[in-house]
Parts: sequence; structure tokens; C-alpha cells
Amino acid sequence: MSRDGGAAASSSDHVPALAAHGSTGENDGSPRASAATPAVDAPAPGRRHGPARRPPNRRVRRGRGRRGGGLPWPLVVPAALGALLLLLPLVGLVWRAPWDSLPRLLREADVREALWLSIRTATVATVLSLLLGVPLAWLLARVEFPGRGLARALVTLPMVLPPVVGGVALLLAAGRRGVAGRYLYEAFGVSLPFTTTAVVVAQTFVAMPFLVVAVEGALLSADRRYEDAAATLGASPWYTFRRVTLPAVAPSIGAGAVLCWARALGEFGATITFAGSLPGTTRTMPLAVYSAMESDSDAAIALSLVLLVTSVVVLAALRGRWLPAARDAVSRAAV
Amino acid sequence: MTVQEGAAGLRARVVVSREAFTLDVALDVAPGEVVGVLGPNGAGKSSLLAALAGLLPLRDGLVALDGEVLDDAAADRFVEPRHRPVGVVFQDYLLFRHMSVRDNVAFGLRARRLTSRRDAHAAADAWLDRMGLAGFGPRRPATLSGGQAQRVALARALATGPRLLLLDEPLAALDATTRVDLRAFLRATLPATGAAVLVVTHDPTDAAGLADRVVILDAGAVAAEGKPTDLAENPPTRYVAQLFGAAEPGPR
Repeated sequence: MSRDGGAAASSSDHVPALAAHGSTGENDGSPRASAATPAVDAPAPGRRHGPARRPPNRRVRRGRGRRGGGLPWPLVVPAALGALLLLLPLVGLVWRAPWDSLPRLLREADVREALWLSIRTATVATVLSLLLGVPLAWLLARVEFPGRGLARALVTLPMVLPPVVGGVALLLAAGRRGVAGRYLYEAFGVSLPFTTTAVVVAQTFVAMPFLVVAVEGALLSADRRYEDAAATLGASPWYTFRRVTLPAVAPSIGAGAVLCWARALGEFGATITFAGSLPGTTRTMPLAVYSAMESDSDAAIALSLVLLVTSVVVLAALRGRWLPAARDAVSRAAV
Repeated sequence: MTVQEGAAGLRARVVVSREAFTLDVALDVAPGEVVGVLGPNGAGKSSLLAALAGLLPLRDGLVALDGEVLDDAAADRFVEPRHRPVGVVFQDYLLFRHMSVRDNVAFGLRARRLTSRRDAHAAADAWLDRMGLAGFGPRRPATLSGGQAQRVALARALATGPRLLLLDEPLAALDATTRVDLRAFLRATLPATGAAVLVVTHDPTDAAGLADRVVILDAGAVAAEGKPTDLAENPPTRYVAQLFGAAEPGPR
């Protein structure tokens, strides 16, 4: 998903990118403009040469009219196949959707239950990721400590780790007989697995790295001299963080939070392993889709459509409001 | 070299190192006095300001302001930048872009929790008024011209009542007309603050136009010191003569 976003984001839309940069950067030509966010400035050359060929349709027409015969088919054919592979399943989903019964399907109790549970858990997981992930990103970006490189790598591990493995690991750590879960159970009688809380924990585990990576990158490329300026004005480090640093990286926090929320919403592997698939308690949308496929495929399609629409909305939001920061975040997430 | 730390104003001997480069400068500035620090790029001007502000710790030497020791390499004493009564106007202003002009100027008062929000805003407006920027409070820094931004940065630095004011190339980024206007404005404003003022510049005209006294840095050390007019008329070294555009070097 993140790769799609990156490719789509970089293909066009230079104007909103720069407009958004202007509104967040507000840089009246001061020397730090170029140093501040290299990744954001990257599209600038494209734009500089852009106006002549920028409207996408004109560009396609010219390609066909003048140079169409010159397109190398060893590139064009695989490219077309690749696009087909990405788009055809989505077309199929929309094509096969039971449009007539859709309103009824979406009103069914278990569907609404799964939808509501998903929205709730993904939102709580995002809030949790913000509360823990932003300080974590700050720690990784601003505090030098031994093993920082290793910590950076480990924090991003859940992004490449198969989510099922994450679920197993969570079970071993926080299960009733787990490394940490044992004490939790003995002390408070709390057992985490197979609860809604477990869903939130699984989603946070998988999704928080997206936020951390986005915010850490923004902190690393932010101009630290503003923090020096705040210090000379008498601001404490905490005051400086709240009033100077945080607003400067706010667009990246927003983009990271949206990515994080989308990833949490789609979480499947860690959730089903750590939290199970209990209707109303832990059966989120993706789990409901999976179980519905076994009995009622129309319901599965309807649920899938809801998730598809959500993803499209998220993508649109990222491209419109937070495009530069989102592109940063997506490209870092894809590394 | 010893430093009389008890005296009023700035008494400093600054030794800092950056890679192969070492700056070693002794400097006294009386309250209300404006001293220009003149030198080519790489002479150590910015390092000097950073050291005085506490952004760069001394390797050796001492910084004392109105009798209070801010940094003493030998005694292992170091006052954090935020606890120093030192205001800095940075070369590219570094105004906080997400805040209004008023909030920028009020930042130091709010950060130090010296006054209520309302009083801080009133003080900020008063400072903007003195800078000839009445009514600019609600504006964003991005909408300001270079000269306006420079004056907002000055107001922001002065609002906390610093006893040492440091200006890093205050005129470098401005066009010719604004430069002349702002130079006259600074010449009138800076001594009136009562603070010891240090203006760093690479331009002899700006130094002569702003400062009561000029310290010329070359390769990390003081090459000459004196009134701008004296130095221009009677340059002690070839380097100073070149700086002031004199044809012949004076007697050594």
C-alpha cells in the first residue's frame, strides 16, 4: 500500500506539493529554505521544467502523435501488465459488488459491529501511537545514546516483519503465561489476549512505526537553529518542543497519523493471532471480510468496498493536505 | 590574559575550537556601547557570537556580564543559553513561522513566564510600536519584508530586556535602500537599549555606520581595534587598510 502511495504521489500533483510546502514552510526566501526539507524540495526541478508539458493529457497526446512509434515495447508491455495487475482486482471488486443489496448488507448488525469496532480500535491505536510514537521519534532524532542505530532499526522492524509473527511475539510477551503478561495476570488478574485491548495493542505494534518514521525524518530535517533561537529567548527544552519543534513538524505528524490509522484499519495477521476473531470484541473489518468469505461472499464484497473507499479517501487526504510530508513518510516507509 | 569579571558590561576572553580552526579573542563592551566585530567570512565572527550566547561552550577563557560569570572554562562554570540575559538577532532572523509577529515578540516573555499572556502581548505591541511596526502584530512573518523581519527579530530579542545584545550580520540580507534606512534606525536604537551591543558584520561601511568601536578579526584573532574613523584614516596593518579601502597601509 505504501508503495502505491509513493508512486502515485510522485507521478503528478507538483502544484499542490509546492503550495502545501509554501503554507507549511512559509519561507520568504531565507537561506534555510533549501536545507530544511530536501525530500520536499526534490520535486522542484520537475516543476521547473514542468509547465511546458505538465497537463498530463497533453503530454499523452504528444507522446502518441509524435513519438508513439518509438516507445520501447519491452518496457511498455510489462508496464501495462503491471498496471493491469494492480487495477484489475479492484475493478473486479467494484464490478461484482452487489450494489442493490449493498445498503441492506451494510445495515446488518455484524457488519456494522465490525465497522464500528474497526474505527474505534484504529483510532485508539493511532492516538496511542501519537502519545508514544512522537516522543520516541524525538528520542531517536535528537538524543544521542549508545545503540541508537540499532534502536532505529528495531523500531521500524514491525514494518517488514510478517504481521502473523508480530502476533505470535505479542502472544508470547503479553499472554497469560508470557514474559510480561504473567505478571500482569498475577498482579491485576488482567489477561490481554482475545480482548478489544489486544486488538488495539496489535494494531499499535504494526502501525506505530509508520508514524515514528515520518516524524523522525521530519525532526532530522528540521532546522535546529530555531530551537537555538528559542533557547536564547529563555525557553526551556520542553517549552521549545511544544511551541517551536512540534508546530514545525506538525504536517509530518498529520501525515504519519493518517498512514498509521490506515495501516491499523487494515491490520489482519497480528490481530487474528493475538486477539482472535470474536464477533463484537475482536472481529475487525478485515477479519470480518475473511470470515464472511467462507459463508456469504456478498457481505465480504460489501465490507471490502468499505475498506477500499476508506483507502481511497485516505490517499486523497494525504495527497491534498499533506502531500509533501506524506511523500516523505511514504518514501521512508518504503525503504 | 586576565578578565576583570567584576566590571559592568561584557568582559570576555573567548577561546573556541571548530575542527582545525581556533578563535581566541578578548573583548570588553560597556553598557550602552556598540562594538562592531568586523572580519571576512571564516574569521570566527559567528563562533564568537555562539560562544557568548552559550550555544558553543568555551574551550578556554571566561565570559562575564555585569559581574556575573556566564562561562568559565577553568572553573567548569557554564550558564545555559536560556538562563543568560543575552539577546540574539540571527542573520536570517529565525522568526517562528507558525506564529504571528506579536507571538514572536512575546515569545521570550511567555517562555520565561514573566508576565501573563495579555501583558506579554501588550509588551510585544509596545515593542513593535517602538520599531515602527505598529499594527503588524497579527501578521505572519512570511508576509514581512526583510527590513521588517529584521526589526521584528530585534524586538523579539529586546523584549526580554537583555544586558548583552548580539546581532549577526543584521544588514547583510537587505537591499541597498532598506540597508541604509535600517542602519540609521539601528544606529539610533541600539545605544538606547542600555545593553552592551555586539554587531557582527563583514562590511566596513556597516561597522563604521553602526559601531562606536570596531574590533577586526582575522584568522581567529584580533587584528586591530579602535574607532572606525581612526582605523580608516590610520590603518595599523595592510589588512585593515584593505578592509577600509585605503590605498596605503599606515605606519606599523
